[in-house]
Amino acid sequence: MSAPDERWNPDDGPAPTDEERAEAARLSDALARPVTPEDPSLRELVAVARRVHATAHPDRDEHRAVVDRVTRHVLAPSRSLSSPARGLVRRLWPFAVAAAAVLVVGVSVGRAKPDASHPSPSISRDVDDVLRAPVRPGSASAPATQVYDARLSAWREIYLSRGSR
Amino acid sequence: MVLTAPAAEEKALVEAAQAGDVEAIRMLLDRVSRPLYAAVILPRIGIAADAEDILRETLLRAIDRLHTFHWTGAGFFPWLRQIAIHQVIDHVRRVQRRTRLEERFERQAADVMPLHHAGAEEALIDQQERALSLKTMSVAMDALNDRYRTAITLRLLEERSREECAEALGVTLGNFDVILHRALAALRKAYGVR
Repeated sequence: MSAPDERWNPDDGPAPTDEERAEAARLSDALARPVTPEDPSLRELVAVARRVHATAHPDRDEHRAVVDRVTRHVLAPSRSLSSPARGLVRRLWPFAVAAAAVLVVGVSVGRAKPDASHPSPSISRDVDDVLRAPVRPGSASAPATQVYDARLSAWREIYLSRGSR
Repeated sequence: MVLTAPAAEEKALVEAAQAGDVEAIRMLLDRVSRPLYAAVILPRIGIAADAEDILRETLLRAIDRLHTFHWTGAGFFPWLRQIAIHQVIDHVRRVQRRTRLEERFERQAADVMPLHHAGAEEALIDQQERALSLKTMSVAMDALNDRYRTAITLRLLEERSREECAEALGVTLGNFDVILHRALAALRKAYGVR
């Protein structure tokens, strides 16, 4: 067996630079590993190599396992909506997100800038107003309402007589 | 038009699937998903993880759009294959540097329908799709110079070790790595998604 030629063969193109040799070594290393490299240019070449290999050497067991996994995923019970319904949900989803975003912003702005023309009364005064206001059953009040109003009046009297706030 | 028994069965499955029958969808996908992955997507993508994602997205889209499928006699697979090819092209556009001209050629090529009939068995679909992929690869390989082609053939098609490949080409291991690197770079240009 003759020793391999250390010199570069001109039939193989221009002599490689050190940088090209290093990149070629990285590719050789990447092809020997199952992990796909992150470097985009290296990844593209690895993909081409694996395309060639996959075309000529179909691994039927591995393919079946992948397909079973994916089919299980896409037909999982959580995806049991009918196709048109799922399509509708997908189409409406961006609008729902946008509406929620508008609502959140609106509430935030509303809280951040209270309207000065309508000062908010204190809670205690509201309670007082309610307790001191005369109880008048409406003209259309039902008997049950009148009974309720009578009880409320009685309770108010007790409450105020104790001086509770 | 009179349908063959397998074609009539496939048509009935499609109609049941379109009516929301999950079991019919499962049977329909079981028939065609393996050749779709192994003979259509993987030979165009190479990276198994990416190919799996594309298969998943293809099947999800197919289920979402099942109600838009109209039976034309060609069967379910060509329709699914079109969705897969467009997913592949979108993926390639995202991850690789490609020209618009290449993409236009790819889209034209993707419009070519496979020749098998409706209701075809999984093995037949696989065989015909693989023949198409092999032909595409063969045309791309023919554009390479002899030594580049030999490097790819020995290393990837015949699965020989680096040492054997280097010996066959009469070069050192380091020089063989460079030849294979250049060969794959040259093949990448000619071996687009088709």
